[in-house]
Amino acid sequence: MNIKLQVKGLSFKYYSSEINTLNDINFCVNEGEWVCILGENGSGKSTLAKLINGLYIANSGEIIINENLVVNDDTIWEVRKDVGMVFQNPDNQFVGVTVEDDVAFGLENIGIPYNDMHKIVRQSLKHVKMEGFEKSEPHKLSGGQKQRVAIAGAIATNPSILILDEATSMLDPIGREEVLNTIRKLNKTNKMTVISITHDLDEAINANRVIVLHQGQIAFDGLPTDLFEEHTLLELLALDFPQIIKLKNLLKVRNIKISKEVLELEGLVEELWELNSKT
Amino acid sequence: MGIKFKNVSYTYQANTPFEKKALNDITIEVTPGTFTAIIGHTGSGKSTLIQHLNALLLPQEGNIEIDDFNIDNRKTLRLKQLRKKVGVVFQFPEQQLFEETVLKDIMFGPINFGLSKKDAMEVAEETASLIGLDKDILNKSPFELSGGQMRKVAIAGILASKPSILVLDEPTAGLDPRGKKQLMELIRKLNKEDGITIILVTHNMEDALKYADKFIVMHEGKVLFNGGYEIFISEHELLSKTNLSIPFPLSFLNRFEAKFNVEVNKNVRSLEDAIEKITPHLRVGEL
Repeated sequence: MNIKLQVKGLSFKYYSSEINTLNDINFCVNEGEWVCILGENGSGKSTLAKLINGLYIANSGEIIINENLVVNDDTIWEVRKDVGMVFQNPDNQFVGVTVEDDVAFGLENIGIPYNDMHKIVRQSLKHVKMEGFEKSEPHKLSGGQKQRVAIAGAIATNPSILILDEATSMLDPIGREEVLNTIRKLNKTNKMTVISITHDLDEAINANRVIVLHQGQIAFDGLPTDLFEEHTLLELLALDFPQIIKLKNLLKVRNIKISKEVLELEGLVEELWELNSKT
Repeated sequence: MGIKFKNVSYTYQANTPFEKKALNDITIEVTPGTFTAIIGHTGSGKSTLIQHLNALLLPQEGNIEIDDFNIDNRKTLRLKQLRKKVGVVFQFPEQQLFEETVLKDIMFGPINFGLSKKDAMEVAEETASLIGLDKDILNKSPFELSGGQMRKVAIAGILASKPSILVLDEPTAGLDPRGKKQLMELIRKLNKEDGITIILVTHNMEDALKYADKFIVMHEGKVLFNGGYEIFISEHELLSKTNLSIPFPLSFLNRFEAKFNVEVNKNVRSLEDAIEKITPHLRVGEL
């Protein structure tokens, strides 16, 4: 399996700060993985994302994309062809006067021919269910619509790594599921590697892997189902349980044990019914 | 008294190709002291609705009464007094922080509404402690704080003007799970202990179910349904017809009913409640 991203001994300190925001971070991400990065506000998640796509440059350590491309001031343009990023607040990333201009911006930057651009823009907007908004002004859209357009802009260039920084926080629940499903498809079919910074535990439970940051260091790196069994660690990390785990825990207190791999409601109720029938 | 929307309509960019009817003949009422959740999918008109509450937008048709204020399309309003009464916390309010220190930022509103510097400082300190901000951060720059703390400072800035109605647009977006819980508990306390009318715009259906006692469900610029908790429970399946999800505890009970072929009492606000309601139908498990 190809290693898409290597983070080695990464430390970073803001000018104004006395302590390191990130302290000796080490991890690798394989091609096609979906990794959720969790952690309380101020734990260094967004800083990490900005380092990966070269918005900040580390004080020490290195970040390597595709096993040979080291992120630094000289390589950032090459890095950004491969690493797409969607920020928490899309207002900070709109450049176009209209939605279609905005989505086309990244394509123009990497030199996609004009004729292809229209097709890709249309396709990308369709992916996020924003067709029909091509001529709208981005700043006049609602918070959730803005996030959809920002995601369309990021996936238009077909990056091999997509970083989402709380990129669906303003979407309604079904809208969030839709957008995540679109990205899941790209993750499966194009092997697009996804690094998603989120507070959404219901998203995290479905990831391949979770990394939890705490005070600038990695406090957990492993399977989501394992993380949510570490009750004391969760408390320390200011985390909570996903709904489905909360429900399983409540059942467990009543001596009803649902299998570890059951992670959605349908399967849970099914198993509950089977257990009940056997009693 | 309270808030009354009467046949309110609002269209963005009217008479252009971009015309969009954001509110379509809205008639609703919010009684003082209640905790109302406004729920709706992206673009359903929620944010437009709340911008009418402090007259950032004026209704193009219809009118809004808030206590003794009347908001219509004539600009004859006592804006300052209205905005003292109705505090609005917009999305990502920390982006509006600007002062050198947290304390000065919280004092800005009260001074603007005519308090002396000394009184404003007192009110700011009181509000900070009410909202659970440590004293030692008051002299820090707001920009040194974490996201959750900045959010609290921004909310304190609104609360310092002592509004009797507090409107919050997705106040927990971007906060970590602990920060979310603390903020929701704080909002509950402001409602229950301090009697502030709360209007909460949220996508989080579980929070709405847990905390609100009135519900206004928006869909494409109209009110899909509104009413108290019982109405929300009895009508909740309508939510899936829009882009909204059914709150997890209710979704669980719906599936349970279907699979076990029984009828379950759905008066629940949380998963803990839901477990109690299914217990009589279970042979497996013990207390």
